Amino acid sequence: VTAELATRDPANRLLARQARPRLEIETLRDQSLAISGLLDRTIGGASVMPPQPDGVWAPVYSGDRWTDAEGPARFRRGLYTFWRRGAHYLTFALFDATSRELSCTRRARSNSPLQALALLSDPAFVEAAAALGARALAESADDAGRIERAFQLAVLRAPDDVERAVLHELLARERARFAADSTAAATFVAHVRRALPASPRDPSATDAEIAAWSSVASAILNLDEVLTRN
Amino acid sequence: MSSSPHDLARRAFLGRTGLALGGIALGSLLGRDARAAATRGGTRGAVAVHHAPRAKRVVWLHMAGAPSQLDLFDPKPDLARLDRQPIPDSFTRGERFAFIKGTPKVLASPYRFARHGQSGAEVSELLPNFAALADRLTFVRSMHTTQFNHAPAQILVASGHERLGRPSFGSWASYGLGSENEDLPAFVVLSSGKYGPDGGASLWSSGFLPSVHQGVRLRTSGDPVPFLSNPPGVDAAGRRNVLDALARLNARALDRTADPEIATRIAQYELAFRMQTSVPELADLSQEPESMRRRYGIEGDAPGFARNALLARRLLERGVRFVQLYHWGWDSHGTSSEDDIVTSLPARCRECEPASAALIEDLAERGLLDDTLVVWGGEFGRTPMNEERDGSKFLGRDHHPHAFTLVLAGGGIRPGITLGATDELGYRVVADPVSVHDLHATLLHQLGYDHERFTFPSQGRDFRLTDVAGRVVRALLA
Repeated sequence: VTAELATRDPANRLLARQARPRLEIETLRDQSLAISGLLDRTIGGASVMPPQPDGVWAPVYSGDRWTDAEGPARFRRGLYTFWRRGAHYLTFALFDATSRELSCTRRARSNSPLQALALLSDPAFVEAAAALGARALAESADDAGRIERAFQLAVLRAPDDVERAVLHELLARERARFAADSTAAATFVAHVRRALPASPRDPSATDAEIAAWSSVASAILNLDEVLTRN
Repeated sequence: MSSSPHDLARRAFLGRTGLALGGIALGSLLGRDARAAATRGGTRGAVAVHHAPRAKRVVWLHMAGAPSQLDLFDPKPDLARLDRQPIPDSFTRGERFAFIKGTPKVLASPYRFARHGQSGAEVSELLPNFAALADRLTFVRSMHTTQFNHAPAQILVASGHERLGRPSFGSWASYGLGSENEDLPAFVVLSSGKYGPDGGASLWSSGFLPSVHQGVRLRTSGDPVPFLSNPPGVDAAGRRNVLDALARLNARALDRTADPEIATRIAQYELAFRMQTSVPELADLSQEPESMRRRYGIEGDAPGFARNALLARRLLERGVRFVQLYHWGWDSHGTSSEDDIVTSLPARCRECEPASAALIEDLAERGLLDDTLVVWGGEFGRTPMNEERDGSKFLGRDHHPHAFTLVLAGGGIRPGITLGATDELGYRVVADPVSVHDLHATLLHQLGYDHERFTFPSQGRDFRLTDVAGRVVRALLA
């Protein structure tokens, strides 16, 4: 609550503010795919299986298998994710998605460390970060412009000076780390290859640059302000 | 009513999150530094105990498929007398079975029983380690259930209801009591054997409780916790760089909005980072001396029940509230040597019993057994009759909901007793019946809760683990 709003309308009679709930996981997924430009907007069709780790999908009385989607199907909206009662898509289940065993009037909104791990390491979100990093690299000519662009796409406002400085520092550290470890950069880029634009690639977009910008994008996509409806 | 900006934020926070958050958020609410709150250790539970608890934690060793009580715990000489004769109609009139058709024949146990310990508990020769521990154990011969198929029966045992959608016992424990270790989840599930339990992930679902209480299944290959490893090419230093930037940016948002949920988020990202170290450390059994690994019967690095039992002890030792183990393969129908009581049942015993006994002794030696509830058993019993599915020559027993035996230890349960009795063929309970709800009520009682007052509102009513039934079995309390 800003000081100005608190003074002008302490009881919020004008409804200028409200609670800031975390977005539901389907929306979070759609949002990061949209920000990064990966989102496949096809309407309708069969359910798809975005990547999830081996061995977590355990349906009742069934030997069915989960096969990670390839191509545009990998980046479809969350509502198309394959779902079965009693056997849930792991990342959605980690974010309070209902089991669909009962009707649900209000989904819980927990805030757990497993959610943090998912947003930092689930391939869906890692690929979104990589795509956002690559997008910033491609859409602006210098570091300052790229940070502005990535931040603006995700947060819908320009960063302030402190935010700008923090992100520049992160970029510098990650750039140095990946420049010194080309194997790590190449490994990372191979991991996220499905999310990167096909050739021809900008020659300045080296593996180390893409990996470093992915780290910056990951920090931006994990901002509370991005995960939360403001 | 006066409304300072601080009050508004607090009300917004309380109204939105209700009981969904544990002590971390409350710590932040009280103005403590979020990181300090997260490293202090322990997440406060949401529900104060109703009376002084006798147990602080639970380890439930679920023998999925349902072990045969008649070959392990409940000897019936009359089965030998009537071996291979049709069972009297008085027992089976009106009964339906999962697989048995026609008039089944009685099946004697091929195993010898003897009395053990001062208590004189009767234990089958298949369980020599339990026999040696007899005076520490409590045998409940009068368990009964309403379900005779695996998934619903397992879900009933796990959650107090046979259909999907209710919170499991571990989730209730996590919700009520919170966690004693800020670096690990409060409710952990381990599974071994050829397949997982039939009930699948519903067995550790948090149902309508906040999902932070759902069981976290530690997997035996790959990451023990989902997404625990950094993505390929990202190391701890890289993750730290991102988290440092993120913490600074989120702290700025916290200054701007005064929303305590942001403090929680910062703390949870830091906990996630610590779990990336604490969980692999936990799962690293090479830290245990070889003698300890041998004692549990761990061979090499292969996954299995023995490994999980030792992991369970490491989890309990570190303050995890509820550890649930499943081991597949106790479904002794007798359709082949893979599921009969001659070859398969002894094999399951060898896989599970030495490690189960080792776990109980190990907990006792560490002083943990006194306040740890140990539960060992399946989801129902097995018939006194041979199943003979399609004329099978292998000996086996069908599903049997009317009577089965469960073993308890520790946690203020009276040791060295055998509670309840079944009729001369072990068909039905004739003394001191204990339903699944009664068992849950009793275990909750040991954890400090009155099962009728430990509730959570959902869909317009207050739900409990014991639904609308259950009574504390006083005879089981020490």
